[in-house]
Amino acid sequence: MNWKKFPMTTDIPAMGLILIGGSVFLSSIAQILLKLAMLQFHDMDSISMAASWIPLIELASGLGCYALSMLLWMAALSTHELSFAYPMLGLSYILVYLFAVLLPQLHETASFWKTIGIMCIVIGVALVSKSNKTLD
Amino acid sequence: MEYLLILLSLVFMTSGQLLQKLAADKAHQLDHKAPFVKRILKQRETWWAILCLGSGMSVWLVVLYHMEVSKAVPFLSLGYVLVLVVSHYYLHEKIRPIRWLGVMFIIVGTTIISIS
Repeated sequence: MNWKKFPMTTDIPAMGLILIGGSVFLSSIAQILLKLAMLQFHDMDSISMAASWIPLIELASGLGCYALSMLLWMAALSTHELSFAYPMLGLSYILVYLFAVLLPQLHETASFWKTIGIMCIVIGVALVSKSNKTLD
Repeated sequence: MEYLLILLSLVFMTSGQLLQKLAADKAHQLDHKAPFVKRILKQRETWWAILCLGSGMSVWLVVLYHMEVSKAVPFLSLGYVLVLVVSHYYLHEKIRPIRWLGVMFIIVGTTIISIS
């Protein structure tokens, strides 16, 4: 595979879905990283903020993940309809929820209704993914 | 009025998505000899998209400052409807009913999550 050129959907079948999945994954990671950074910054004044390198690294890598996810997103958009791809972003709710529950620093608990909501999103995304009129 | 700010944020975010799609389409049609990243960065739409998305996120942060997260996020899910409408009328994408149904489920799901 020619790594100089970004693998396009014409090169690998289902590349579009891989790109969308990768983009959603990266943007979920980014949201968690930014949330972690904000939590740690919350009680600091500006001097401590500039001196605390862990949250700064979290901030920088969060923004980096967002940028990378945007790149993958646009690659996916070049061969998929916007109305097909965009609902897939709903999956990031699921990933962010899972990360938030699994990471103790974020103090979030699973709940019955949150799980119901997640299931609705999964159904919704599955329906949209089946709504492609061309077999891609 | 926070609701106007929410609307503004949604308009920015939807425009950002639309611009990304336009840029991606243009880059796709260009000569594939150049790497994709370069083709994307050459498009004006890419930079307008970045501006719109950045503005949208900033306005959203202002909204969250004044409003509880659990009240604000359900409005964000309206973005899914906005994007579908824009895709249909502006991009002339054919949207089958099953896609609308899927979006409805997503909106219901995100609303349940944020108010629970």
